[in-house]
Amino acid sequence: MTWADVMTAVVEDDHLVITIADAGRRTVRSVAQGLIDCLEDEPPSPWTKVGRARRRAHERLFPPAYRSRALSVEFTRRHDATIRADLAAAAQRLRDGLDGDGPIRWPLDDTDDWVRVLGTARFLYVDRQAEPGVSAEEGKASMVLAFYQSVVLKALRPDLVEALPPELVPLRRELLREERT
Amino acid sequence: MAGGFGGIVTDWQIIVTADRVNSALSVVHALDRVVGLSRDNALAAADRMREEGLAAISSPSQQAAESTVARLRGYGLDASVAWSES
Repeated sequence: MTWADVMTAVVEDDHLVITIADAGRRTVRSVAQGLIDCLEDEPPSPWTKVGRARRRAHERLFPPAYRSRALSVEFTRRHDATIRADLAAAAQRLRDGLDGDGPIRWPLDDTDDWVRVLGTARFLYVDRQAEPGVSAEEGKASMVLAFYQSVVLKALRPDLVEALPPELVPLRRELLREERT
Repeated sequence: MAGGFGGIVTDWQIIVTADRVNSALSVVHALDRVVGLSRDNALAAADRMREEGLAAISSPSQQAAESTVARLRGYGLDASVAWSES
């Protein structure tokens, strides 16, 4: 089995049609729930293991919005709740849309739910340097999500894939190399 | 584009900082969807991020820059607000 067998996506009749193996479906559902938990309004106490992990993920996902700490705090006050609610809503739609069997048909207008959730959920596992937080497994989890996101984006944006110069697509090169082996 | 800030003419900017997590494809897609950059300009911004570590995009006001940064964060990008005084 190659990566390409695990998940495919094609555009058909104003929908993105995603075929994903059962294990992948369970993974994405779990990841979406993890993101929802991370974005909830009242996180667990920072004195607990879960609370510390969520705080770290939140900091990785939302670095300071300004160089000035005071302005960053103001930005958070003005925008943080909206950003979290909007992203959590996308993750809820994704989680709920993974119920059932068979190909997943997603309206094209809403496909950025997939792009956003798969992109942001990687920070549950790695920092901005792609370094895993606790174990090597977290690095692998992040790479799997990157692959899923690339499948979705390649189906949605073939124009961009064609236009990207080779030096800007190291991920694509890695995946193509893996598919050949 | 310039705007007022404490009596000083200010150019507001959206800064998108490169990381090792987001792919060029996802960055260009987000810049297209959120900022409305043309494909060529979004590709140029991704190239600047690769070369220089960040790309700066002008914004008409602090409020507009913050709104755009908030949406880019929803895609996982390391986006922030900066300004230069002139």
